[in-house]
Amino acid sequence: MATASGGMESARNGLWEPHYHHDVIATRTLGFWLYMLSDAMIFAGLFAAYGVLSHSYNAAGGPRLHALVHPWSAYAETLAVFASVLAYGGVMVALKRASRAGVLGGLVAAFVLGAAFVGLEIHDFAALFHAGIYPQESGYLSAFFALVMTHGIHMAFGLLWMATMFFQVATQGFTDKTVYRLLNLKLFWHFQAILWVLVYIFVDMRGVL
Amino acid sequence: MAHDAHDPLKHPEVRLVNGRAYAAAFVLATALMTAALGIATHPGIIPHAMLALAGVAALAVAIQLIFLLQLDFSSTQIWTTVSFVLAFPLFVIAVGLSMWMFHSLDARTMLMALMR
Repeated sequence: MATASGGMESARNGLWEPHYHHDVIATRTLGFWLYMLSDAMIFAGLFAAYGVLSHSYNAAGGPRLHALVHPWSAYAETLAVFASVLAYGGVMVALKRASRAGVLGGLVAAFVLGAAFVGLEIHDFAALFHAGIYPQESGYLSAFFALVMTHGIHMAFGLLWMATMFFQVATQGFTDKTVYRLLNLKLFWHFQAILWVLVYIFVDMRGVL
Repeated sequence: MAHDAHDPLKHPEVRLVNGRAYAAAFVLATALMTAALGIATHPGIIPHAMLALAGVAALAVAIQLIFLLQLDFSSTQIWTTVSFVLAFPLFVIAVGLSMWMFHSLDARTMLMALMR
């Protein structure tokens, strides 16, 4: 079956033949997607821990959610994440049009907006630490910081990945490797927007309520 | 097919890119998050505010899954969609069962009530 020469013939023989042997991009994006789903399980664990530890006795008399969140700051962070995700959508559109300058420009925009998010979050954490609110204060605060910081660390790694892709696309152009990496970064970055919606609603907005 | 494989930009996953869908996701999700901010900062505005917020979150996530991650039943995306559909109940079980378990523990043990 591997000797089939015609396109019709290979299409009739095993479905995976062309994909498994030649379609590096599809194989690696699906593999990375499955990794993202397992990464999402980590967030499910953190949300579960947060839900369980948000009973008042877990705050051990310390500050509760209402004291930790600021609605407008969370809203500004939301706008930064969504705008960065939209800018990365621009990277994908430029990729489709084979515009190297467009991809590089989009990566810079997505990076700057993503960095704005991380900067706002660091500012929020600094304010909490300044007020003497630390993760070790209570089980509740541990769960809060673990959840929000894990998302923040994901965002920071996304920025590192964007910077890497900027140099790879600038130096190598559009090869199989750079294209599947850009597609994987798209999955990663767009997934962070989904996770942020859950953090924003179930941590920040719930705390404001 | 063979000659297409040499140009990664002709790959179906690159062809799938849709700028309008990304823009729609941005506009709709931003509008929903703005509505959530309104609900949260004006608690009297809507009954069952937390339930409404959960609904807003579910809608925003669904919009992002469809418009950003482009989960659909096309031959390019079918396994992405199937793997998500199979993983989704695991998220619900992990979060839902943990919270239910501890909620009932809270309700059934004296210790938790004493610590309050």
